Amino acid sequence: MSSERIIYEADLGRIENGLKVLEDGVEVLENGLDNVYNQIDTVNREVLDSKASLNALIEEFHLFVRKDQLEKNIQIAETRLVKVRQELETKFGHYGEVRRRVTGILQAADVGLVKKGTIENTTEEQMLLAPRYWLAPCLIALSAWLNDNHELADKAMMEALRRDDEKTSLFFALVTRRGARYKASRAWLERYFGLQDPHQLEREIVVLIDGFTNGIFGADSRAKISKEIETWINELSERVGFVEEQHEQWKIALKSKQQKLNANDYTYLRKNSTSWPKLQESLEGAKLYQIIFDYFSEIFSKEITPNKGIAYAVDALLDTLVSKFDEEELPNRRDERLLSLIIENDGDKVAAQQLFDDEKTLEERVSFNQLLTNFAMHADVSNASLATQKYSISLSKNWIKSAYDDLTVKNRAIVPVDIDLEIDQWKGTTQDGSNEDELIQSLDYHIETRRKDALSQVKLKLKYWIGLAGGLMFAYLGFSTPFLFVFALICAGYFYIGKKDVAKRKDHIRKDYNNLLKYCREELLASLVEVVDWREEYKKEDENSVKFTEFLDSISPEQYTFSSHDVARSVVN
Amino acid sequence: MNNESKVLDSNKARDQKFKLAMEELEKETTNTALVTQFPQWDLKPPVNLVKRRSTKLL
Repeated sequence: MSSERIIYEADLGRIENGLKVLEDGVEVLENGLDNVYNQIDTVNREVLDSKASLNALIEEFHLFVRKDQLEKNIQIAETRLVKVRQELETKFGHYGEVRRRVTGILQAADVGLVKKGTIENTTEEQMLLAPRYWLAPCLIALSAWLNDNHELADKAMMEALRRDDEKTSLFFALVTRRGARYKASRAWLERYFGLQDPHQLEREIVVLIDGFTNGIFGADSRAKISKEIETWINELSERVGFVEEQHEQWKIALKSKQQKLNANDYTYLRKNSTSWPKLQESLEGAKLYQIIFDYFSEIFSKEITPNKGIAYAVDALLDTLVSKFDEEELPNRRDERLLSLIIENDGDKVAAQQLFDDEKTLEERVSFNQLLTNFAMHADVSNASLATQKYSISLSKNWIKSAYDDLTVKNRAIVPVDIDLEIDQWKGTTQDGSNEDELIQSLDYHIETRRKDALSQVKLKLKYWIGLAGGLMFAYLGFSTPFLFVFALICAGYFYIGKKDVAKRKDHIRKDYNNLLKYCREELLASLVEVVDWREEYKKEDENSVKFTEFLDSISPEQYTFSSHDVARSVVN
Repeated sequence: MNNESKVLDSNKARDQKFKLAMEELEKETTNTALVTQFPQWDLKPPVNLVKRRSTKLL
């Protein structure tokens, strides 16, 4: 019989129905939400699609705008180019004609084809047509000279000099050289060099310097032009800070020959000495003495042989000079070049401007002292001949010497007196490795101290002491309850194991420290051997420093700067 | 003969050799047609030297 008693049977039907309705409602709501989510997804997809389309459209639009801009740039450039060319034709059309005539006459005279009378007639009209152009009177002077008309030649020459002294001087220096008139050529070249500003030289001067150092303008010109160049040096030296600048420039140039030590050299010092960076730098610096000596002595040991290539380069300069645009034309010519580049680059103004700027940097002028350093130290890059290299070094002798002396002093100053050693936490110092015994003792003491410290750290752990205490306690209690002796034995065994472990660990530590001591001693001895080697090598390299100084002293500038013909002064080479 | 004299002699010989080579090069690189067309006199610049392009005080 059940003890349960029903008090009242509840009618849950209505609640159940209500819950059912609620459940249905929730289901409807869920469906509705699903629809909403679907719609959101659809909208989202559509938004993404629209965004992609819009991006594509924007890209297309940008491309269109860019294309349109480029096309417009081309159109504008083409229109402007026509205008610039018209202007050039109107203003300087005759200049081109003069250039063509000069080239023609030079070529014709070279092969003796044109009658002198024809040359005279053609040139006079050019003079009238190009009233400001320097080449027109040059043309008349040249043809009058060829026609043996001294008066006209002089008159035209004076007019040409009035219009452009520098170019006229160079023109006649080159023409007279081509015609083997060395005396006149020397006079013209001397004038041309005299007109130059040594702070701002055109790059073409390299060819002329190479020309005169190799005797292309005749033996006399070497001495005369050399005097002119000496005045450049004096003039440059007058500028405040020039000497210091040269000093620094030469230091950098000499230092650029420095080489890194072999990575396999001094491996122990690299590893065990904190002074290694200084040791490395000073030894590399000391090795530089021999490198510099070898570099310069090799240059001076070579024999100069006149080079045909240099003569042809000098000759080519005449063609360049004659065909080059006049400075008066340059603004228009530059516009013309930039506009042409814009058209060539399909309207891309930025790319065209970049190319234009790159071309312009080639026109930049350089100072003579910069040229001298480049000739002496980077002859391959500066295309300097052996004669020019020797000449530049001779001219720069005092600057090189002062820079070299400074490098030597600075290098000696960084040589460490004490060389610090650091081997596995041990630190020591040596000067020349002579305190080896002292350092070994110090190392031994250091390792011994560390070993003692390490051994003192190895102690029996508390749990083993508890084991011992438990063993004693159980042994005591075992007298009243004998089976507790078993526990006493277990505890004693546990304690014994602990003790054994401690002894084993200590043995291990002793062994480790013995190995460490052996390793450290080997490292120390090897490092000390390298210290001795380093000191010896440094001393040997440092002794070489004097070789270059003596070599420089032995160079007689007159010999290479051609300022004297007295070969009795020659000492070297 | 001491060392200095030897060096000087060697330099003299070298200088002479260079001069000969230079003369040879002069012949090779000058235009003979042009040489024959010039009259006896030289077209030389006036003696007075003109001013530089720019001042030396930069």
